Amino acid sequence: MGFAQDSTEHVVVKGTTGLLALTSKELRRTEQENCISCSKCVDVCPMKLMPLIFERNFITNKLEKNIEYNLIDCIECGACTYICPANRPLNEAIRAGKIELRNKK
Amino acid sequence: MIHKFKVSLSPHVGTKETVFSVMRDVIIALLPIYIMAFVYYGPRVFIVTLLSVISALASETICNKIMRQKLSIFNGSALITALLFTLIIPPYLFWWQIVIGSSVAIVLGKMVFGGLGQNIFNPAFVGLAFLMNSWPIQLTKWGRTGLDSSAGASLLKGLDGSTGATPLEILKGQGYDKVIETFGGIKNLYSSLFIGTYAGTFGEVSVLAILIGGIYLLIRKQISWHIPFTYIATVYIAFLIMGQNPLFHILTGGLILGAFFMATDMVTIPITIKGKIIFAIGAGLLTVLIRSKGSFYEGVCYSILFMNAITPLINKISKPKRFGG
Repeated sequence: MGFAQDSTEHVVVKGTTGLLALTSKELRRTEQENCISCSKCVDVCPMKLMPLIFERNFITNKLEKNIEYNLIDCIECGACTYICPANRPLNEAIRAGKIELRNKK
Repeated sequence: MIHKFKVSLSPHVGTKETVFSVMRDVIIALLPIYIMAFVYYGPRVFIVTLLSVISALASETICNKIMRQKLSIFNGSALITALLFTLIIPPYLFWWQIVIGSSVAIVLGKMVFGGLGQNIFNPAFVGLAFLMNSWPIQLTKWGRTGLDSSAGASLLKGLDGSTGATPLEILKGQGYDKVIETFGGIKNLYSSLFIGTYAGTFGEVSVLAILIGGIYLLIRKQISWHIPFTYIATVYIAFLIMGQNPLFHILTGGLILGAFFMATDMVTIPITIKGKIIFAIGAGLLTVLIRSKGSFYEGVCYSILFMNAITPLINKISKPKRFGG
């Protein structure tokens, strides 16, 4: 949700509803670990998708398989990335996967 | 535009939970079982645990070095494998059998697949299956204070090292009536099985201790109730239909330990709840089949290993229905 700002010179427009600034304490700084298939991401997904499968297919370059698992329906809410105990970059893999699928078309 | 900040994708916040904290919960859940094992077996528990933990950590370190991975012994998974392995082997093995079994559990059970999260089979059961096929005779020597009919007696008498047969072994060899006879009545049988005064592995000593650990895991939401419940219910119903005493089968032979700690090993079980229920029903039916028709008297190990093998297939057929689709 929202966009990360890379400088302080962006402008506030009509559609801007909020500005979020997090302190370094609030930011997540744990190390990335192996996926242990705890399936917590599947349990929390509001669209009832399987985020861990998306990420697995993305790393192993099986992008076509992600269509079967309805990658396009992901709303990118980030709940899976929040809950992941192994701190996997699920949201990044999903967004990158979507972009690559779009480029192929 | 000058890029002043490093940017990354949302969300920038996350849970406090890490892989280690998941593993720590499992270790805490195993504590009651270890306390009960210490009560019944004394310092031997320490020696066996120490042997299997040290050899597990050492073999993982060596594998990390060979595979040029980051050192992965501190995420707690090797420790859990070693602790679970200790609970499912017979208490009186040679020290080198424990070392070999524990190393095989780590190397062949986990590291050859690429480390944590990649393994197909439950590592602790791989170690046990390896030992069972390598030294079948030693693996059926249980060595316990024998079958005491009253719970208090064996606590006071201590360990004399006489070998006793497990209840399931007696059932297979001499029939159900003999089991009742050895325990002295059906009431004594249940109380003895529940508190744990019969021959068996460290992990089989007490159903009560396993239930405490299992309930802790359920409260901490590290496991879902679907697998233990479905697994135990399947075994109960199947034995009820077959006309054997279902409660006896549930309380013996580490079935509850398998239901709460082995069949819920996150890495090797299906992802979705639908898949988990299929997994548990399959494992339960296989356990019943092995116990009633097979030559082994214990079916938990092979039934769960078999279901581990077909977990990818279960994952394929149990995709969740997407929202609105």
